[in-house]
Amino acid sequence: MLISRKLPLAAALLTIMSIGVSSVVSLQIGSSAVNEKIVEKLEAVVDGRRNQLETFLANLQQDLTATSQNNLMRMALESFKYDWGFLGNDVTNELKRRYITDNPFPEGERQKYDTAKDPDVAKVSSYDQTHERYHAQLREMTESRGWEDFYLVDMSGNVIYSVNKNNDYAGNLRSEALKDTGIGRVFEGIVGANVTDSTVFADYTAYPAADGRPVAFMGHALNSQMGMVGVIIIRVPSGKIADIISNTSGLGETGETVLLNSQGYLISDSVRTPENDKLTVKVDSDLVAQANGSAVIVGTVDGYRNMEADVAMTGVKFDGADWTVAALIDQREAGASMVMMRNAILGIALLLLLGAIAVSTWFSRSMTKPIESLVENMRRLAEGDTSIELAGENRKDEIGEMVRSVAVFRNAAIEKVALEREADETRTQTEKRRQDRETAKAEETARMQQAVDALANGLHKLSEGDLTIRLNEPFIESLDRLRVDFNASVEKLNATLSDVSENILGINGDTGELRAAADDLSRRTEQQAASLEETSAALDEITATVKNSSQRADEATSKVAEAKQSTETSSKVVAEAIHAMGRIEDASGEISKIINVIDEIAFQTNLLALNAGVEAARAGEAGKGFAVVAQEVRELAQRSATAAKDIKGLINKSGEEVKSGVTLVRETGEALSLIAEHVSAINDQINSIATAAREQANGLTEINSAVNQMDQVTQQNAAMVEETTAVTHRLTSGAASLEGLVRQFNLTGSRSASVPVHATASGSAKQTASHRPAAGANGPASVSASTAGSRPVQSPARNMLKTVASAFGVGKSNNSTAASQDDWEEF
Amino acid sequence: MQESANNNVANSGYLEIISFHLGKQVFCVNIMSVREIRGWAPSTTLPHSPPHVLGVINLRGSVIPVIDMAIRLGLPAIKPTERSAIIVTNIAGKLVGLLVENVSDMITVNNADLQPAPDVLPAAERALTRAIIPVDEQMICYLDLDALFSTDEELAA
Repeated sequence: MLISRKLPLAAALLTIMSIGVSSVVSLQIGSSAVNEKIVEKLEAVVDGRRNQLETFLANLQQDLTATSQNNLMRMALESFKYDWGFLGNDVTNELKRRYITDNPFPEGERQKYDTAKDPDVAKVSSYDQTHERYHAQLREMTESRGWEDFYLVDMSGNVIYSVNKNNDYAGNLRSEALKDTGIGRVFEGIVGANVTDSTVFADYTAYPAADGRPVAFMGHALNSQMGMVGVIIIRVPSGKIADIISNTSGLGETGETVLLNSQGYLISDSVRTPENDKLTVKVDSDLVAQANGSAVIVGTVDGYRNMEADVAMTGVKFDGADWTVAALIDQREAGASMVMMRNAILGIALLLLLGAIAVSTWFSRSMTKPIESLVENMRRLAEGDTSIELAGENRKDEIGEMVRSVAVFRNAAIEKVALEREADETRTQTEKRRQDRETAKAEETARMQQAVDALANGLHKLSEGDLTIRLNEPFIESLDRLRVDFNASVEKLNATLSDVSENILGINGDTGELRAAADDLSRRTEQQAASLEETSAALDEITATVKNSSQRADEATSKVAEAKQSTETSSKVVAEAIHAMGRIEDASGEISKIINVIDEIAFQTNLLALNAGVEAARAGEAGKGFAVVAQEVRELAQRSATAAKDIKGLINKSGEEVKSGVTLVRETGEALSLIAEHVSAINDQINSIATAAREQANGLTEINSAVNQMDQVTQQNAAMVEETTAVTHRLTSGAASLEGLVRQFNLTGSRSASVPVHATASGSAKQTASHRPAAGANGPASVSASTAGSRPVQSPARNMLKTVASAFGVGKSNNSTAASQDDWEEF
Repeated sequence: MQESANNNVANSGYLEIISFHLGKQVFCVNIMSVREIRGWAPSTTLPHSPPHVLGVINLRGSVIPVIDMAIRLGLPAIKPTERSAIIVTNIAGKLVGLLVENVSDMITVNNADLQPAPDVLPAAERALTRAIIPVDEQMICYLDLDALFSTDEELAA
């Protein structure tokens, strides 16, 4: 395919791919975000409605309970009950006639009729009077609380009063007609089960007395001291529930909330349909059964109002009723914004694609046109046409480069034709000169051959080891120098080899000594390594000991800190004790003052009693009784004086005790601070111990590294000794083979190399092999001189070990030191 | 008054006395000659009065002399304290205050228990002691106030 088509096509493909992928991804992210948003909104709405509903129902219960405790209710009930007995045999029809049939207000407004009493009739029914007395209050209460109706029922089930005078008014709740209705069940639920302290609720059912509309009832017992005396029942205000449920704010054009009973039937009218849905329309879904807790359940529902809807549900538990609040929204509405988003993205993608194709086509055109003309020119140049015209040599892009390159090719082709012509002329002249040179060369070669043959013969002899050969016949002049030099070389070689042979003998003797020395060195190095290992082990033990003592010192420091803390706390306690004792002293002073007053009073009383006694004595017989009383008073006064004195003594004593206590406490405090000072001193001591231990540890680390370095050096020494031994052995055998080589030559004036070299080499090899196992036995004889020379210098490592051993002096280390000393001795 | 007091002693078998301390000694006077017992209060000194006359005090409007009984009876002087008492007595129709260390008791004693003072003092001094009453191993000196007063007068004269 041509580049002019490829380029726009590639651009289009890339654009489609990038736009497509980003569109799909953004569509998916957008749709999931929108869905989440809708579900969250539904959850929030359903949760809010449920809370509103529960609050409303709880309030309703509270209202009813409060009403049942209202004395007005009991008074009204008793009055109506009393009057009920005076209404003849057919009470129901009589009351229905008076308050329903003869009611001047139409149905729905019958509550406005206050009484059926006819003011002109002299004899009025007491029921009408009672009705007149209570109706206005009860009606006002019912309207203000929003109840749909309010009933007073006696214990036998008679509806003796109702506010709105519906068809159930004056009926009996145990009759066939009302027994199975909601109100009948509430009545039986209270009276039959004797529920006195809570409300009873009947869920929405079709109620015949309200033309079959669904009604829910709630009742509560009326109690007196004697027990239950009647029941009040209300119709639950559906309107207020509908107000809560029909709020569709935030749910769009198809969304709504509905209240469902346990079978899934609506019990509040849907605001989205014109007809009445109560108990007739059903939301048929398993979700209704699942949504019975307080948790919110999310899902989809088909068929309700002919739509496929997203739904969130939650349960409402109330007094036996099992309701579900559901918030629904049509998926088509939910998805509408998604479709809009998709169309917008597709439109933008198409525009971008068209733009990309247009731009890429224009761009490829601008490039392919000059390339096409250049291709044509190149084809012609290849066919040999150098007369081509090249356009666009001044372009600055790659095409300009290509045109310039083609121009270079064209110029090269023109130059090549000229060069080929010159080369043909030069070749014919060179051929002639070559033939003249070859004839001169052949003569000289024959003369040279003679000299070469003689020289080859001499060299052959030399190669056989004969150093006695000499060339005596002269060569041609140019080559005679070769013959003279050959003879001198052979002479010189002969003399050199004779010297070599002599030197080999000397080398053999030296290597023997060298090998013996190397063996000794090897043994000593091994001993040194063993000693160093022991040193290292001893150092490790010392390091552990020092570390341990350092830890102990740290622990002691922390204990000392705790002790210090304790003494400080004690000082505070001592101060408080002193303070408390001061307060005791103050209190004692106060008591002393009071005792003085008591003493004074006792003294005065004593005086008064004495005076009374005097008066009594002077009164003679008549004062006898008084005298006894006076005597008693005196005794009392004396006793109080004595008691006061005792207390005074005790208080003085306690004051002294307190004083001595204060002194003791103060001494304790001083003792404690002294202890604190000692503890601080101990702390400093321990700190210095710890510091010393740390420094010891550092010193030991340094010693350890020094020993390690020594160990390494020793290892290197051992390796080097090994190497030296090996080299010595090689040297011996090298000398032997050198001797063999020299003996191959036939020397003039031969002082032929002596045989003993060979014998010495093999003998010392044997000696080396036997050296190793019995080092102690054989060694000293050969190395005694050198040992004696090196002995006096004391090793620094040994000095250090001795010091450490004496510092940590135990029997065992003494032994080991002694042992090591022995080793050194042996060394 | 004094007669009746004496009669009292003679006629009835019992005698009521008020005992008081002077130093370690216990003395007593007939209760019938006592008008009142008061706490100690400072007295107004009279010029040129004998040492045993402390001065005069104001007893509800009437001025009465106060005598230091210890000095009067020849004992070392006592230092009056807040616990000291003045026994206001009626001696021959005159009210006289007697400063004593403290009033200890009112006692009823049998007349038969009265014992005469030993006959070793001069008559004038002996007249001060009417009898000795032993009570609970304690010797109480029963003073004759009339004699005290009359001797006083003599001394004053």
